[in-house]
Amino acid sequence: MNIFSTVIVTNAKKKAAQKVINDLYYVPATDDEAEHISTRGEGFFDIELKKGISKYWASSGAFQSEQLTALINNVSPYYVVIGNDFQAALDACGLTKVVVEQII
Amino acid sequence: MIGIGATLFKRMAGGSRFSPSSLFSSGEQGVWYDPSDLTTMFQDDTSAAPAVIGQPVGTMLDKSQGLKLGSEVITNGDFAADSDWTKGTGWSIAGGVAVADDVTSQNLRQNGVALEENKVYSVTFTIVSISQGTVLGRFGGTPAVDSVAFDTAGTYTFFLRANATNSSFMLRGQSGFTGTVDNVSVEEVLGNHAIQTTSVNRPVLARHPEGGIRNLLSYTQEFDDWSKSNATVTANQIAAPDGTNTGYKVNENAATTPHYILQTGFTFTLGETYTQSVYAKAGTNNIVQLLGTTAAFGSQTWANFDLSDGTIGSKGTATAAAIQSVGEGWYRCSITTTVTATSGGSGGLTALVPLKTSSRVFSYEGNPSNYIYAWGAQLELGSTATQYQHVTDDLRYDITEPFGANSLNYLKFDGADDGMSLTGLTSPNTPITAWFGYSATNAESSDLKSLIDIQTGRTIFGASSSGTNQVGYYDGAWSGFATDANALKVLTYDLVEDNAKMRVDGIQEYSDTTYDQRAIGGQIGFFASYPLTAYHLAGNLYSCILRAAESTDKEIASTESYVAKKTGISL
Repeated sequence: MNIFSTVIVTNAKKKAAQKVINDLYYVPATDDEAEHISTRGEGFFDIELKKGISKYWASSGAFQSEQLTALINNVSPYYVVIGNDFQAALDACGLTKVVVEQII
Repeated sequence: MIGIGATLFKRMAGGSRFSPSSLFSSGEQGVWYDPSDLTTMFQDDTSAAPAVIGQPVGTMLDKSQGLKLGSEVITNGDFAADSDWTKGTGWSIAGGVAVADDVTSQNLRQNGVALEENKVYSVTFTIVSISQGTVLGRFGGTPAVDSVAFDTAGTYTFFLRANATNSSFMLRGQSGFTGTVDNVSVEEVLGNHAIQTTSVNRPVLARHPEGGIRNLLSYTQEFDDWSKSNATVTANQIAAPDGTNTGYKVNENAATTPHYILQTGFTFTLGETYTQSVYAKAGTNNIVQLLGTTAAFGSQTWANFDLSDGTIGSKGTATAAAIQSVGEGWYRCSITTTVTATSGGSGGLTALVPLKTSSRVFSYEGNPSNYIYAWGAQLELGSTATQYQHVTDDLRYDITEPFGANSLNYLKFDGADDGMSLTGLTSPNTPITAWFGYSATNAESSDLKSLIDIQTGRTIFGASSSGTNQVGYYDGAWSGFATDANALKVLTYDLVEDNAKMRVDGIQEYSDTTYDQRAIGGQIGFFASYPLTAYHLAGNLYSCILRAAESTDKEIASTESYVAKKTGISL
């Protein structure tokens, strides 16, 4: 089931949070399939946020229920809110999104 | 008789309706994305479960090639011979079918299947018989790509997207699968499909009525999700005005106090006029009262409605009230009033009162057996109660008009991290014609926001280009023009070497003689930069067509009309 949420973690917990997602999709080797080490977590927590000099990372959108449960149980996110309003989540935490400009 | 003849003549003379498929009939490269076609929308990027309104979309099929199927990539799919398949424990081939005998986590595998990364394949097989367990289709690799598991005899067709590691197809028996399978087929679904592999970065399939969203309330006929003050609600108690059994009972409780229901969390601005309405029907009680929050509207925003005879009772001096019979004892009751002080407050305030002459939020001893019926609440800006819009929840992805306008489907991108990758689209140096039906919420600033960003040659279609409220394109430098960058619009790019034109809603707004024609390839980002890491556009996509070719004026105009219709715009 999809649950629209915004999850924010501190910079120190970003890699741990991504690993929680990767671990969800780890598949051990079987007779006819090799082990699968997932990298799905790398698509999560790619929105950089800041408050003062502190750095945070967010994911916002349709979490699958097992993803959300695993994050809450294993990472202690800085902030979790159910709903689809990303800006409201930032406002609630006093965070701002870091605009990543690419060099064209 | 004359009229019939004229109609026939018009049809014979070529009055057939335009279809964007004609833009690609000579083998032109491109994409045609159509959120209104639910057969092309899927929830994820692998098992391709169909998307429904309110769900994220991980795969959007491109219709430019007509969703035609490519060559068969399975050999001996009809099991005419005992060959070409590697049989795991419990699998055999006999009598022209694949036979499974108590198979658990074992595969009937065909190796060396020509699957290509990011291509979508239509997979079909028939479960001829089954007595226990389940069977699924799988692209082998790490990771493997699975269909759902099937447990009933029948023919199944589903889509799977291959990744770079997939090079085999297998039937995988589970839970002691015992049965027979026949006629396995795997064929590519031709086209350049859009995908998003990360669940939280997927846009959401949504719909709203043509003409836009007016109802500010959520759960507009699901009163369980409202706040209740000394009142209770019970769903599905009576036929509602739309004929469905969704009318609610709203009961008072036994307390001596006002009895009402409401939604919280609104902000009202001084001077704005609002109209609040609800469909109501007499139960044991005949009177319903609508009212506005005091902090914003003062104490004179309220009115009583008599549901036994369709008349208006006492009301506040600042309130205009209306009641209209809609049949079967239901009345649409409404109040209109103007905000007297900017304030937060409640909306949809609906109270039970005992008398037609009861005062605002009248306090009385309730009887839990007493009730009225209610359905279809609406709060909107303006001085009239317009067609009722059903808002199913507070995510507001599914909004319809039971008695009014048609619905428009769209993909909603959040502007935070949503985006999709276009797969497979390549072309040597080419003119491009592109049409976008969309609206935005973050395109007015000078920050770049991409509709499409093509890595090869770095061609960008910018909903926000290099200036405030500028729409434009990038071909090594930005070119654009000032417009309302967030507005709902049909934006057309007509880009030919040294001849670029951009049009909004069918009217040319920009031209130059400097366009530097580019190739198409590499990564291609949709509503984000090509690596999907920046330039996220927040907005709604109703229709998108991109053609790697020069288009005639007639083709441009016809396609604009098509996209406008999908976008709810009259050109």
